[in-house]
Amino acid sequence: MSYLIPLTILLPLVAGLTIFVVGLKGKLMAQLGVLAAFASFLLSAVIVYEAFGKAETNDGSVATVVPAIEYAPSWLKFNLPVALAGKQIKWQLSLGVDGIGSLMVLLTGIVGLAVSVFSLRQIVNRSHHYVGLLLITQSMLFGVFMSMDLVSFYLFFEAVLIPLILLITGWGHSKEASAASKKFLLFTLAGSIPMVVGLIGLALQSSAVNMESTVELQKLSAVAFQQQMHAIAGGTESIAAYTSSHQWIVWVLLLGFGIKMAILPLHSWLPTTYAVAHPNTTALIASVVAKLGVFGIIRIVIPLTPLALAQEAQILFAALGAIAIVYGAMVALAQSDLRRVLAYSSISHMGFVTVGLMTLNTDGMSGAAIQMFNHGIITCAMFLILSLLEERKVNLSFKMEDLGMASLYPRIAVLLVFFTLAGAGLPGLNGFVGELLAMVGMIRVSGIITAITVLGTVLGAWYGLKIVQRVLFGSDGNHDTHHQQHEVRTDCNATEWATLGLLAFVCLYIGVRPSGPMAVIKNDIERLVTVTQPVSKAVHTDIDTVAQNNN
Amino acid sequence: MSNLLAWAVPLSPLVGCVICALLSFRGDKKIAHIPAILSLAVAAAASLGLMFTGAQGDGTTTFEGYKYLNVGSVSLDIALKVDTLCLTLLCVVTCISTMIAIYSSSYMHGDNGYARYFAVFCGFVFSMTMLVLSHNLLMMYAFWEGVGTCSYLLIGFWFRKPSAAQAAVKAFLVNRVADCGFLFGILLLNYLIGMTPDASSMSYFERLNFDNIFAVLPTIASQYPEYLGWVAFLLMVGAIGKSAQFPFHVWLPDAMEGPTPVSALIHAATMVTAGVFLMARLSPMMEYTPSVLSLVGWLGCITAFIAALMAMFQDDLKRVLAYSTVSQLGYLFMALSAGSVNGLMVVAVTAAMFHLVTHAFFKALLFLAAGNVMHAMGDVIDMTKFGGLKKVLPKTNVLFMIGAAALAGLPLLAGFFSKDAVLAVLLDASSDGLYGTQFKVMLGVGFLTAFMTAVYTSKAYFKTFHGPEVIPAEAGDHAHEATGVMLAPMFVLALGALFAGFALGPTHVLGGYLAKTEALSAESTHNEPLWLLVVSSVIALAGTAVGSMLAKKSHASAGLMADIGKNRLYIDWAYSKFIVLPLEFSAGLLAWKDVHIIDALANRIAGIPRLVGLVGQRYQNGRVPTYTFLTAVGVAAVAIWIISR
Repeated sequence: MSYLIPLTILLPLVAGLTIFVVGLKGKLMAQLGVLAAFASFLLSAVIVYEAFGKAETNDGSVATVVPAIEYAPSWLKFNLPVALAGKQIKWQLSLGVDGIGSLMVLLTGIVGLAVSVFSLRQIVNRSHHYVGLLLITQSMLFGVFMSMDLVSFYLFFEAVLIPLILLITGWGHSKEASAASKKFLLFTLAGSIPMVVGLIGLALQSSAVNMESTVELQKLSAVAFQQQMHAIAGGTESIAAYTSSHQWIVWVLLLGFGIKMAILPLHSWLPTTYAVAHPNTTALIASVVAKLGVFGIIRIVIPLTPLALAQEAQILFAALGAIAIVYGAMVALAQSDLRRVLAYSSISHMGFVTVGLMTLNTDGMSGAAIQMFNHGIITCAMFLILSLLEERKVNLSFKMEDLGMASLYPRIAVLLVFFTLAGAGLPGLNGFVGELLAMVGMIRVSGIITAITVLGTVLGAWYGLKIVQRVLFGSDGNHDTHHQQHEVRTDCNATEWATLGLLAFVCLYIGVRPSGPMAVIKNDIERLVTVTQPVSKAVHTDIDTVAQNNN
Repeated sequence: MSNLLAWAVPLSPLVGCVICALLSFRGDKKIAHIPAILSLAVAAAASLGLMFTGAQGDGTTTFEGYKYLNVGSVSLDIALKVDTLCLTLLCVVTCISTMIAIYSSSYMHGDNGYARYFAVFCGFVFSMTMLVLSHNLLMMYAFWEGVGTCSYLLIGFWFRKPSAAQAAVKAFLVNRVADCGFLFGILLLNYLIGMTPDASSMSYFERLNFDNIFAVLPTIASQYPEYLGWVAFLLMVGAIGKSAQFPFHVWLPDAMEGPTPVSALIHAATMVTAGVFLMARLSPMMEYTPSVLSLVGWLGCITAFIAALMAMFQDDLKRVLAYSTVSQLGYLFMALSAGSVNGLMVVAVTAAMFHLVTHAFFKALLFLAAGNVMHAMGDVIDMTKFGGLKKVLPKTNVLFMIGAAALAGLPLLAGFFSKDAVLAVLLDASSDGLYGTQFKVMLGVGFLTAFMTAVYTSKAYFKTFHGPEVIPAEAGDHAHEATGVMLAPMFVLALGALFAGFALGPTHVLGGYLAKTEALSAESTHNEPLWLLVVSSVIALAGTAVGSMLAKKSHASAGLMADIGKNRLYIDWAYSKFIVLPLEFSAGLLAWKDVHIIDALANRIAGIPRLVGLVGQRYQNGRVPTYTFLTAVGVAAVAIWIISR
């Protein structure tokens, strides 16, 4: 029982609500918010430390989702007013973190801090409201990553949307913002309603084996583990029987999570939203919120119904991920608006995560988990740099001319080049680790998908270098003399420099010594593999799993 | 002790890099050369120390570093593998980079990015030494990308010039395409090693260590021969990309947009030889796949010839040298391909490494001399705009002459011996039954290219330094000889260009030294016939004479051939028209489709509820007659349903 977890969720929530209520009457509210963001960052760092320290290799249970530290007080136990299959559903609110969750919590902490620091100067109007909403969003995100039961997962998952919509509409491009946020909302709701049905379906699994009904992930995953093993032991027929009873669950869940992670044909909310929201807001959405879908798959779909996933959607989703890498990069190449370039590059990068997850083996899933974190850091930095550039040049379009901003703003130029290279998967920076592992995992599953993925790395470098060339290089930047009124004319200030420097340090650290962060998620991935490996071996007999017997 | 020395080689430039990077932010730009030169000198001293203390032990010594990654099937330690093959290249890299850093401290003096220049320069040396010292294929790939990035940053060093910015992107992307092959080859190899039964039984097996790769090669070759062929092919693609071989040669001439010392170091002496080093390192694997070696020989052959052809028709002095680099690298790959013939692998690698070492010296010298010319001529490098500079630049004249003579292969200079070694290997190989014909062709092309090399080299030399004195307006009236700081390192390189060939080749010093590497220790029977020496001397002298005559003609021949040569055989043009343009077009198409089809479709679907509403709306118009009518229809329908039951 660790009070750290509720504290981490409540601190930003209370701080955010306070700022909202006190509003303009209180002075220095925005600064207070930044302080709260800093405190949450520290708390998230402590959570990683604790989770890493308490992670046990294997406690003998067959559960595939085991929190390292948890908070599930008995007084937070509710009887839900619904009965399924004649049984009352009891909801024991349980929160907890494992390695993967703690890494995402840390990401949320870092990104929340960076974004709120930037918003102090970037957000001119109602900056205290902005910071307050940021903190509330952050709190809900913490909640998602620390949920250990289906109900609270779903509640937090949806609650993220409320402050987020306000952030998009309140501080975006005035005209298109409401249309874009409507689109965002509709898309997400279209996914979340089937998702609820899927979650209910999963909750019913436990009643199938005459257990007391539960929504707790740890118990459900143990039940699921036994079911999969039972099905595999029964041979082809029982696998088919299991799959046919579970395939609808997998599909509705993948639809829900797929929309959130902008999987290929369901991605069109993403460029619109990213292009319209304030870059600071986008930094938060792109780096953390866009990971919610992937996190849902890794937390719910893979442990609870891996057999149906492997049978139904594994290859399809892997192929979609690989296509997304190429497709996103190609479309990004054709854009001349930096916001849209980054939006499509985000789709492209998330393709690596999808590919990694759908390998269902140690290499690929570790790669996906670490890539979620890495891409979060990189993309957050990219959008923050974008906001800096837009301050200096309204209408940041490089269609007509090379902007040559490097000679005016050398610090920003260095940062942009650094993070572009990190995004392009340069070895020694963090992007490489996840991409490499995803590809290493995927080549065991499908050579063709791997080949497409490898090609994607070239295209990724292409648009990355293109924006660097067009935005930073090619001229001395002084050709347009008619600067607009609000434009900033100086290089980024020390605070911004330090914030982005922190992000760059994280990139460099993970790139140079990834074994540290990998150790945090190692146990969780190995637990997941205990179920996914026999499953994928049973379903795809031609997939190589020999290589995994090593450890 | 050896451990310390080995780690000092890469880490000292890294420290230099960090210090220079900090200096570039601080603004103390005048002193950045001091940490850079010091750190590089330490690295050079350490690598020479490694060589003389025999750090390789019996064959190979590995110096442990730290655990980089250990996940699933990927296990990677950062560690240094020292053997004579890598020490040879290591000494070349560190020594030449120290010389060029000294040269740069004067050449780059007063540039805005002085500290930035040295930071990336040291970063390059760090990556390059780590690449050379890699004990693991994956680690090699990592630093392979690292040197590519430093090259990108240095080509685009003068980023305000649009041409430099574009050249940098071109170099990076062409390399990246080739690196795709490298990466995919690594992935496939990792997978294959996992499939071999004896490998999977070992726990925490570092699959991609070179030693382990070589250990499981026989198993893979017997179980998955066709896959092994693919692996070798893909790794070769990576190698020819970095070494600028056809069809990836297009990036190197454009890379001359960078500062001249950079061209000397990265794009002539060191980085471009990484591909040759990779092939040499993987020679045990390549022995199993002679078809890939034969292919690389053909590519080298084509490259050597077409690059020499293009070099004949360039007006830009640096581009002549760039194409000549490409052409000489073609020789190296031709030499390597002789390894496809049974029993010649060791000789082939030795010849390639020999030419690599001598080429590093005289080509770096030539580039630095061209840098002197450029410095004096106010950054003009077009040979039609200056000439007869031997009075203005007397010392540069001599130095350039030494470099040019070595490149042309004039007897007893470095290039003469090493080129001869390459040709001798090809001659040996041409008596083979299976691949003999190929090597006969390649030997012919080798002789022809040697002649052309002598022609364009002497043409460039005589045009620049002899004839009537012409000085462009850009030089002003201060066209002067380079400073002593610039000339001193060039003298060192000139010594190499004069004597390295004689010292290393005929005395079998290099061959004997390389034979200490395990993979290259096999007995080799190899003879260099005397007539070959005579023939190549005659060819070099004849070529030089022809070149000097060509230089006297005031205008270059304006024929069809010259036109094609000037336009780089239209290869760059074809790439931009048939690869880049279609790709960009389809990118545009996809972008259009994304907005107008996918997004529009999503919007349509979102419109459906509204449409349903619209349909319903028509019948809720508030008029009693309509409602009465609808009620009647409903009642009738119910009635019909009841009756028909």
